[in-house]
Amino acid sequence: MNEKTAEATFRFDFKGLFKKFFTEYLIIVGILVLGIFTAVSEPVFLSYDNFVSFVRQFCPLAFVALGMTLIIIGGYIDLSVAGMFSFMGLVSCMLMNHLGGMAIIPIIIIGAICGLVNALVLIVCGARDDSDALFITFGMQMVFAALALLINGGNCVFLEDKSGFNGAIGNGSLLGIPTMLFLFLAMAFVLHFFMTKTPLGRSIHIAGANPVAARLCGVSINKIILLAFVITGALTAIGSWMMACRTGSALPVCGKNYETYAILSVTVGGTSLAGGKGSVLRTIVGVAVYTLMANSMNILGVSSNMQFVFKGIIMITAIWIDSRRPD
Amino acid sequence: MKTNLKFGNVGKIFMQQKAIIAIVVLFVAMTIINKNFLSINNMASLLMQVSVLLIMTLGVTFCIISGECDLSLGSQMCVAGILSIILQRYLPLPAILLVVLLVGVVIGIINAVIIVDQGANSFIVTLGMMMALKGVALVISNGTPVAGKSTAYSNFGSGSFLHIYYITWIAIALLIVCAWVLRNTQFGRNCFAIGGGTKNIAAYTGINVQRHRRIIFIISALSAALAGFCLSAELNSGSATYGETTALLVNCGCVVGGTPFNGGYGGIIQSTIGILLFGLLDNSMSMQNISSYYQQLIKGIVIVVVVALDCYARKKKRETV
Amino acid sequence: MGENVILSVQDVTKRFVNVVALNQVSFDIYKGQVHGIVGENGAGKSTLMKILSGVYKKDKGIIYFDGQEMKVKGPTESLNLGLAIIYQELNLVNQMTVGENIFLGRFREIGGLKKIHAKARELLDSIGSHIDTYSPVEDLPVAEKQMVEICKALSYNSKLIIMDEPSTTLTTEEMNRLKEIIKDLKSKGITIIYISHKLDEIFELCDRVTVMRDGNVISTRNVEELTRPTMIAEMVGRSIENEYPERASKIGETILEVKNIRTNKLHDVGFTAKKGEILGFVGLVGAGRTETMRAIFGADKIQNGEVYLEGRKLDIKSPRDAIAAGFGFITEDRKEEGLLLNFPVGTNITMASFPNFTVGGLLNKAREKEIIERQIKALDVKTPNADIYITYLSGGNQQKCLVARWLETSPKILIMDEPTRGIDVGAKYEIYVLMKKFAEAGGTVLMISSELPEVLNMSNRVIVLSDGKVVGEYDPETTSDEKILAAALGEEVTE
Repeated sequence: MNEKTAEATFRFDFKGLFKKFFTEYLIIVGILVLGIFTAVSEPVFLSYDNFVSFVRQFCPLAFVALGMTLIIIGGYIDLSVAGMFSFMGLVSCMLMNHLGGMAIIPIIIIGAICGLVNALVLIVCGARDDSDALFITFGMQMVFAALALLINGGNCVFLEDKSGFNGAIGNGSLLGIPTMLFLFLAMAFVLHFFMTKTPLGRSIHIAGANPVAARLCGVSINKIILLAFVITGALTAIGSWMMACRTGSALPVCGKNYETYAILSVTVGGTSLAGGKGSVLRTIVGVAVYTLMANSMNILGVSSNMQFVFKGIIMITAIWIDSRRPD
Repeated sequence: MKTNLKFGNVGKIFMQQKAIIAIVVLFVAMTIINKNFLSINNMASLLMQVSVLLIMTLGVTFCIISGECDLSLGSQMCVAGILSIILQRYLPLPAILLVVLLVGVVIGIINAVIIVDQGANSFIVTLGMMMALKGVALVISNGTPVAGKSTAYSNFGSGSFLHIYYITWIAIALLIVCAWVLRNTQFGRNCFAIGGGTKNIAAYTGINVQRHRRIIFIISALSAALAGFCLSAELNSGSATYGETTALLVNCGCVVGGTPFNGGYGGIIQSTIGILLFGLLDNSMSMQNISSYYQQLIKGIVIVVVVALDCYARKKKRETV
Repeated sequence: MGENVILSVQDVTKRFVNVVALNQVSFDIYKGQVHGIVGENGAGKSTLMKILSGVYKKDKGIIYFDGQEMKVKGPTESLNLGLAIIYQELNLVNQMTVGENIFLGRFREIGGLKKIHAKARELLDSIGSHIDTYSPVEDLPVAEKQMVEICKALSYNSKLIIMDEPSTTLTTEEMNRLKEIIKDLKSKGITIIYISHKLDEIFELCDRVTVMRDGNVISTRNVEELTRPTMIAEMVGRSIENEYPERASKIGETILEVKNIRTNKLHDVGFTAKKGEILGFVGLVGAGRTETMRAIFGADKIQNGEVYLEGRKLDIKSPRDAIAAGFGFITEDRKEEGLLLNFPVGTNITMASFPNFTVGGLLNKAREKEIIERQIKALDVKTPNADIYITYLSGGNQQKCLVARWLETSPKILIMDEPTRGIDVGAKYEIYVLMKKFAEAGGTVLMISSELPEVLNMSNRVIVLSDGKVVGEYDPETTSDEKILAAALGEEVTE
């Protein structure tokens, strides 16, 4: 009975795939349709300039989403990334004004420290699942957002020297492709490699799937929290640095709503909020889809307010689909 | 009224007493430091700020005790407020109130369906709803604050009786009603049963858990809608920026006062104490002219500390390492 | 069906996937009697009770209650029919008051808090209890919580009350009170089903007794016709030789010493284990067996205790330390604590042994595959391949994967908590063979089991736990099964 059941159910999975197509991939399909519609009605959508703009819009969020992927796979959530992003944006500009191209190193370090603070709070108070993490990181969001306002009295910071390394990242291209993208792809590759080919990476999956079983098999949940949140801090810092390089300035609210976009991207890409399953590659698709939607709506002239509404609706749909996944 | 002051859990008693002590300490300190603190103006204004939050707290308390979580209330309040202003051109005040409440019910039903019937995670769904509603708020207000034009409305908002604002009276009245409901009706007792017991207990005694949960989301939506109506009356304007952190603040206020997240405990009085503390904190910081940025920082830290302590208390209780 | 019969169970059968929990169970219960049901853990008592109270649905058979066929769809229906059950774990909302718990869900019916407390007061007085109806339930000691549950049952005008292990946590005095109440209820014409391991109480309180074993009713007799030895013999039954392999016999020196483990539930638990030995742990649910293992494995906090492995004192603060020291732990509840259900069989097998296939800091897929294939072959796990999700495997094969997982870590001590729960007979035998092979290769097995025959046939030595203490150590080859069971039940052991 065992063999037959296993085989039968395994075969059935392929049939189920068709069904999945309509629920799981609904959003992706929907937005692709949107993209095609935009391409048809506004040819500028397919222009090189738009492509560059698309990529430059994509990268900062993508970095944040990468970190969020790790956290969500691990079974937690981080709502403070938006505040961190704003804060690090200002810090990035300030450091770049003082250190030029070398600023990226302290920027990453400071970002990691922000993530470390998150991790330590969670570890010390024994946060066990995403609802604990939710409220704590929500609070940390306020803290970081406030810091972003305090650090320069609520004013923007402007990047004085737009040339050099920072400028190259922000606005340069290599072989016609924005340099940002190369950096991102390299980082994504490294993270994907980490998640799939190292023991620690796989432990994150295991911890997210069943933290009790994971602990009993020797996985250190605290280590995973530390890793996921510190990496997220560092990646968020890189993302905000990129955005600052591109725009030449940092607004104290530049990261606003980034946590929602990041979660949206991760969920749309197919990583489950329940934890355990998911991958960096899926998130890349998710961010691409999100950026495609934002880009299309911009080109079609949808007001930014309406865009907000759509983004919210998509998020709810994505979560709804996620909740219907058989668990 | 024979009240049950034994909460059993040391952590909860500590929290509650801490809140009351904190309120007293802060109150006394402010009276000493600041001449204007104890003035009628300031007290009434403090009460007013707290009142709007209190109206929302009522819904949130029902939610938390039943073991649910609704993060979209801040945005719901915001939308309700903007709607109240916009509809002034078309409808008389009572009709506006009705429409706003109806819209609240609709939103509550949507939440209820997705969370209860589809079984989605209430935190994240209401987070998404918060975002969507924020967008709606931006759209209908066109991205800028809208000013109220109805004198009736602004009179309602700024009017007072015996030096206490109408809105405060409303809040007090609702507070009494809700406290009564929680103590003396089947529905109110079910909140505790469902939130405090394991899944089976409520089901074994014939309580319809799903229906209760749906009603909870509708109630919290109603309270948010009313709160929005009152807030916009008070400020005589509506803006998409109102209510951004309100949901979080109210939830944490309830926890501080003694209605913890895991449900089954607490009550309206406890939540009120917590909200009073937060309101007092806000008021004190404003009175001392602390910059709004620092205010936000302090609030953020307070929230993290509150939630972390609650979480830590639970950690201590656990057997596992 | 006689006039006096209040409950008639006829040919009730219940299966859970591939395990038969109840097999054509039949007996009658007479009105106004106290009817005892005895049997060890896993005999089917709680399944039967859950079917009676409406929580589970029976697969086959008929139940007549008070002359009518009983077709209930849920617990509330059976309550309304007059059948109440008081669970061992107690079904009360801790934060609410006594009065409210008694009338949970019937607020409106009764008409408000005042009336609820008034009626609750009446009920409590009727059984002679002085508990304040306004106290929160969580403040009460267990004995008084039971009073609350009894009042709850009475408030539904129950004709039949099932008490599931009511006395496990009561003091003698509290037990006497309970006995008085039961006698009182009986005099009021209420029938009681009394499930208990404490044979003293069965003999003292019951009029008739049904003995169950392995999902079957062995006998139903008036208590006068029963003697203690016969009852125990029927509970234990005779074990069939072919069900188990021969005992492992290559026993060496003492390898493990556990001393003075103290936690909230354990009081100075200690024992020793030898190399190549299979050490069985017997006791009632709640006796502290799993708690002991979790304490040793570093999964729970301990207040006091020492573990020596191969003479060396170990400092175990987490499962990680335990694994490094050479322990493996197959948990009781494989679905909740052991398996990653939506992950491939292969991942489930290798998740505790990363060092075995990590080369230069990276996971080596080839080596991992080799390990998986080796384990699947060695343990004869029936699966089409290593990539399908483990949730599709049968219980027996899932358990084999768990065994594989831990064998891969080459442990010195393998802890197995209820290793054959929820597994069919054929797979059970295979697990026993694996256990024996492991022991004969020099490993030590600490086996917890509620199936007495299993423990008695597989173990070289049996340790009995009761109430968080070690109460005895026996050699199953020379000690009678009955004696060991008696010790587990907390009985006075007489030869």
